[in-house]
Amino acid sequence: MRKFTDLALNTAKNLGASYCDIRIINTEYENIKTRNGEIGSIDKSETMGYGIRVVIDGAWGFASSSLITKEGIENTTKKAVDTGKASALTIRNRVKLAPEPVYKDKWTTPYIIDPFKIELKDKLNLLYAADEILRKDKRIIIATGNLSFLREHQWFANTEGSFIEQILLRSGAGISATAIGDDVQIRSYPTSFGGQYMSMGYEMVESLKLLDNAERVRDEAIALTTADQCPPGKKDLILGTGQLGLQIHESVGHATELDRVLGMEANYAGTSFATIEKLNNFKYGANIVNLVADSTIPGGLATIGYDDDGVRAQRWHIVKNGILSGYSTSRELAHTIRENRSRGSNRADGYNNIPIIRITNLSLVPGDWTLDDLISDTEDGIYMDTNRSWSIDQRRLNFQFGTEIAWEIRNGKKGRMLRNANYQGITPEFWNSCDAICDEKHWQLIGVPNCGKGQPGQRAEMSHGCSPTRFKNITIGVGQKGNTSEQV
Amino acid sequence: MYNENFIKDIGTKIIGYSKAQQTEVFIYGNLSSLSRFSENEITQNVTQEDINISVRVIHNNRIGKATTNRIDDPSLKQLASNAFEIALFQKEDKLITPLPGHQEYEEIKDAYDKETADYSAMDRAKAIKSVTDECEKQEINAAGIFSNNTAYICLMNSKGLYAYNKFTGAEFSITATKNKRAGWAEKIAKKVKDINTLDIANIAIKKSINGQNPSDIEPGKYTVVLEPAAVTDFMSYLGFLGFGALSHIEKRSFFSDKIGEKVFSDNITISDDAYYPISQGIPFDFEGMPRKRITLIENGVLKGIVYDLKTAKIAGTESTGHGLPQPNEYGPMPLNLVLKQGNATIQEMIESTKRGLLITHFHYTNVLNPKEMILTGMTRDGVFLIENGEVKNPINNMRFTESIPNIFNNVEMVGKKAILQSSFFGDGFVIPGLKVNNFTFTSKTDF
Repeated sequence: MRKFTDLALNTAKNLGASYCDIRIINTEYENIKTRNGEIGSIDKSETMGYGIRVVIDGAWGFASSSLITKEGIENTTKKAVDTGKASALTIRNRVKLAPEPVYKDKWTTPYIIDPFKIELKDKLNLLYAADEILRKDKRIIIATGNLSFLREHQWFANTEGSFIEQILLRSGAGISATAIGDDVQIRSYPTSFGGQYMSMGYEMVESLKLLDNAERVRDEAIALTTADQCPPGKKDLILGTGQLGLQIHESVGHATELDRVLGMEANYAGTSFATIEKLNNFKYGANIVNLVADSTIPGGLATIGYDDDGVRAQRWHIVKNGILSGYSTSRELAHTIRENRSRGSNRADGYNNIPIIRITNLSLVPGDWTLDDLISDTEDGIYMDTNRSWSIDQRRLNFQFGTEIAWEIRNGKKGRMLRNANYQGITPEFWNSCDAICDEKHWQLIGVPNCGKGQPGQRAEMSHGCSPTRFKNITIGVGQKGNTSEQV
Repeated sequence: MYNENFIKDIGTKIIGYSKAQQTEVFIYGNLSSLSRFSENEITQNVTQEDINISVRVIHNNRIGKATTNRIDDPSLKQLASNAFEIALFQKEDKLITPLPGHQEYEEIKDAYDKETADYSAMDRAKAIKSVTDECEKQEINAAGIFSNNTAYICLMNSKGLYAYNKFTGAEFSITATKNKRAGWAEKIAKKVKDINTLDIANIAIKKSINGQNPSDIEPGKYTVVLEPAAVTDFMSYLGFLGFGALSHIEKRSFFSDKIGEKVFSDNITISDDAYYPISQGIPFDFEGMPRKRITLIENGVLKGIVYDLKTAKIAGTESTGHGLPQPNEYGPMPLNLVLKQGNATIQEMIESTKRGLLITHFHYTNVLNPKEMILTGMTRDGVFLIENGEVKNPINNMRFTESIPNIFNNVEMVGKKAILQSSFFGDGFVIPGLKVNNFTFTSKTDF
């Protein structure tokens, strides 16, 4: 690959660029979905291409292509330079990159079993076996199974001298059952929207024990169709990890992406209430709330050796003892918060997109409660788990989430199952109402494989570690009879 | 970009390499350019060129699929082989539908515009500069995008079907912010010359300036005057949840078994029409079937739903040409919805309102309950109180929680001007504004 990366870097320099990087990426992808005993979708793909980014006249330019030839790379580099020159027409602030050491390195996701070497028939047999259990009851109208594997082989080189090769691997798996009765209800395992995803090999799929959980998933979906509606009101809310992961993602992760904070996403994903004057003085959450960004944690979907700026992976606090303590940053924007090094959060979706700041793995540090003790300690509460719906405003303040399942908690006992559960809050009020976090035995990483951001739209993957956590006096059952909204 | 003959040759080669009984080749290529700006300067500027080749085979009632972006002969041979091998491992699917043969397609007028295809990064930069200069004059921060793209879709199969469509599109959108109060406007079109960036920017600027010093109101039920962009979210989820045959067959749609019944207000008529003059539709679906014009709701009565080949076979009817890439778990979907215009202007909607809200658009709308079609989302970039027929002060943003049937059963007035709006599901919908009564807000913000 050196000859191609050198060609791009030299061409850019000859055309006047002050900085250039190139990422060549070969992607292998396999996705199998079953639906009611048939193939819901199946795809096996392989792509190869490259993106070239330049700074010229103080402004960014970018172009991508899949034509990996001398002529293709020269033309694409020229296109990147031309777009950069056009950007310079409106320039107010020249691009200033935070320094980073030069690396010559190779990094690979640790894994035990290569998922691409498992026979397709074995993968299908697993999904069909789960399907058979899920559809043993006729009230199940849709049973799904999902397996997804992605390997990205990347070569990064820049004009500062770095040359980094990375092989990133991730696996995903899950099942779901949709039941019809008085209502239509879905139940998923281990999490919703395709299941759990981690930077691991096929060993992750085996560890999930999909078949052992299929009967419970089926029975809970059926039970939900006749369960009582989640009542409206205010209660103490315990969130299971299948919901809390997304709560962290939406109300902390996105709110602390520095590009959003500075207004660069204002026209699309929005901005943030967590503005830079609040750094190190804003009470984001209760004292027990510690949220740590970590692109080195084993199994995290954003666990990498280096980001797409060529910055080495790091670990840092976003919220420390309840105080806003950091942001996700890039080489371009680190200086805006007077940091002299990027946190290494600049990532692109594939070869054909420009890197933008993305949430890395962001986790809530465990507390010291057991779940049994937490439930016993809750007088009038609700336990919600597994995300079904999500919405948050453009400044990441007002959110409303729905979950697949909930249980009432009365006088320290987990009671009746509830359907159509949801809750609503305002981010800092919500995190400041946190009064108990379960311990590391309950802590798990929840993968988010489909985070959308940017224009053109880009997808990114990251994980959020957490354990069941309690929040006091939260609005639940929005839209149910008796709430502010009346019946909808 | 590769020309049509080159693309056709790729498809022909793959069909020749395939050992399967039936082979379909789907090729999508694009040259997309987008300039993104914020704080009155271009911050990202990209040009992307790519090709995506997907092969679907059917062999002994089993299906296989493989994808690549490589166009050399060994890669194309490998692609055909991968799809065939995947098919061999499948269970037999008795409901599988054979690939269709030759089809005739209606022409989409003005689908391709050379000026739009050739529009350069410097052309976009000059247009953006005129906008950001104007914003600076008015002490406004502008953020937005200006994009132009050319794309083609080619679908061909071993039974003689050949479909090809090349098209262009352009989009300009802007969020103008002054003292943390934002205004937004957007225009999408087939031709870049139909986008006057300064005119669009001025709409956003005006909303931002008029949005200063907002006040609070309490959540509850309000009459709302929805600009077309605000209606789009409801149309988008209506198309996704309500009009596809699969959810009807499985009895999980709000509309299941309701064809012929009155489901919305009399003044609501919705069709799917890829050929509507300002639509950005293509004349065939992802199975190669001609895309038909379908009336879905007529004067509030549910008249029809959309089918692909498989759901049509189950239901004993014909495909309406609304199939997504096969196989998929969603079933067919309408991608070119048109909400028929009424006879009111937005101004007339405002003048007829004693107390209500004027809404620019919504943010992060999502489904709370798919069967009941209950949605939640936030107002964004311009909410204004209407009192006694006049737009008064701006209002802080609020969250709605409301069902689609409730919205479309409370439509008092329909706008006379429909425009093309970008949509979350679909190729852009043709939408007028609406005046809706009894619209439920469930919480508020302080911005």
